[in-house]
Amino acid sequence: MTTHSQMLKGILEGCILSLMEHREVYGYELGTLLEDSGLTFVSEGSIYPLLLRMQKEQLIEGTIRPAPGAGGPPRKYYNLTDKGRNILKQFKEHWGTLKDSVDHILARGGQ
Amino acid sequence: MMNTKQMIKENNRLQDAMKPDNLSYYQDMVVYIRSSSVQESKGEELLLEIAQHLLDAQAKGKTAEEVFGSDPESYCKELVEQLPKMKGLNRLQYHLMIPWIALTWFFFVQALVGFITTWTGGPVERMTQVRISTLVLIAGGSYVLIHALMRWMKNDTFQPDEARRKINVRSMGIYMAITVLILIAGVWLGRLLPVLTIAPWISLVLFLVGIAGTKFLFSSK
Repeated sequence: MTTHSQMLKGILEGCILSLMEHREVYGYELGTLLEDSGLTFVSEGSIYPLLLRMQKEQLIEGTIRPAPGAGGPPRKYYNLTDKGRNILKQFKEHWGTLKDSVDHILARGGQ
Repeated sequence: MMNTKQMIKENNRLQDAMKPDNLSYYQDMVVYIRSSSVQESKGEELLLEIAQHLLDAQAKGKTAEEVFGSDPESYCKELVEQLPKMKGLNRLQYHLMIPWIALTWFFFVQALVGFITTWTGGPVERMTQVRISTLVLIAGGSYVLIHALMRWMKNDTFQPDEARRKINVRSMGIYMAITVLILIAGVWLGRLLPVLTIAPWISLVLFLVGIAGTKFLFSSK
């Protein structure tokens, strides 16, 4: 795997954790949220291998149950685990530092 | 929380709502994932999730190929890699199931033939003899043949019809070679292992134990 796609994967994982921070999300919804945020490099289907890996690493957990409200089809809703929350916290710190450094360099340009 | 049986039922219900192209794409995924040795409940959970996603996307006018890519086989491989593997008892069940069922029905036939021979006054002695090698052969043979068949179906899943025919010819060859090997092994074993005499009623008991065991050990919870 290239460094570039590895980096994107890490960022994507951070974004997914963040989208689940305050409420539970299901797969299709997650895809829509990512797309609406402009993360169009993510193909819809590619979130599932990632979600499986994140479950294996116990960052998130999912339960299948009927949608809230009457008559909704059963869906798998994802939540953060405590470990997931910690990783999200780390991601936010790392991202903050990285973003500041890169912005700094870009702002100076070639000077 | 749904159990595996409920998930499969819901899965079938969702398939009814899929358009033909999406359905055929999805069913290939189902075959691939169900024939992999992953934890059954986790596999079904994923299939249900994907079916629901596909229906949501279908409602927006998208096709399965647009959602999950034009290479379903490598996509499924990726999914299976991330799914928890079958382990311990489940793994044992997975390997034990086919020989168990094959032997169960073998004893049914034994019992039936035994009783009929008794009633009609035939050569009971000869008809109730069972070579141990026959039992080994049935257990081993059924296992190898069914697993070969499953692998064949799995490899076949994502191929277009043209390629499918080619693979079928090759698979048939492999399949027949395996059958011949099993038969040779059987003849060779037959000389080494003793012969048992199993009374028809014992065969019947073994069959009933086999059936009870099938229900108890292998039915989805």
